Amino acid sequence: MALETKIPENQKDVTIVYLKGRMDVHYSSEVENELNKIIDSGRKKLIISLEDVEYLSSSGLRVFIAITRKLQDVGGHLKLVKLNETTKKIFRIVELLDMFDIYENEEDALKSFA
Amino acid sequence: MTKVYNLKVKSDIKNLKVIGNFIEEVLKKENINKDIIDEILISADEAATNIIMHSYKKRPDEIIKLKLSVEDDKIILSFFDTGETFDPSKVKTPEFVKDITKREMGGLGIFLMKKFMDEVTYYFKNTDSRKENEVRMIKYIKK
Repeated sequence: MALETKIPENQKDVTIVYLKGRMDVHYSSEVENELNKIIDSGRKKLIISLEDVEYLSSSGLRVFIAITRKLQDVGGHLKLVKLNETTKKIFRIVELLDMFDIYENEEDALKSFA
Repeated sequence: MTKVYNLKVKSDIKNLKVIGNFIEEVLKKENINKDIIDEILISADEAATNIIMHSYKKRPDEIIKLKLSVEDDKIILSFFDTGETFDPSKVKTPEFVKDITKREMGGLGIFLMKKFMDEVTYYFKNTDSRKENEVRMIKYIKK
């Protein structure tokens, strides 16, 4: 399973990843594998769009924590964009909302990398 | 008036989607508010995942039964399995440390279930002929 990704024309060192659907344990495991491959290939600036994510389970949360740690180890950064209200609520409940860089849109996340 | 909906699936993690679709379809048909549906879906996902991963130790050919009751003032969602009995008292409440590198990953699922549902209760039935575990989750609503 390949994730949909985009490399912006003006910021080729950034990878934008688009997640879709319900982040249950099955999808989360596939997502984590793919994100690990992206990071292992040398990509260190990651934006993950959650616009099409219906909800996030604890498995999904674990993926974001694990990926953040992996990126920190290689001097990289993760930004999250377009969280819906339910997803924001989950992040808030587990006190992760302030621990991630979260943006309303891709443009703002890209600017933060510039 | 109470309406009861039942589902039986194999314990393959790919069936988490089937469980989610079933619950969503029923609750939309019952005109339940979207925010409530989302919270129930997340709780259901966590409960079913715990059954698959812990009660059944990832064995994909066991059975998970689901009973969804929609009443005027509440929604009751129960999952039934015949796997290893889960003891919720053994699950630590997660500590939300500020340093993400030190965050432990365990206990988040049950924590979310308890936050999103008004009641979460575990029942164990163990007779000579039958063993069955039930996790019953209740969400109070205004219809």
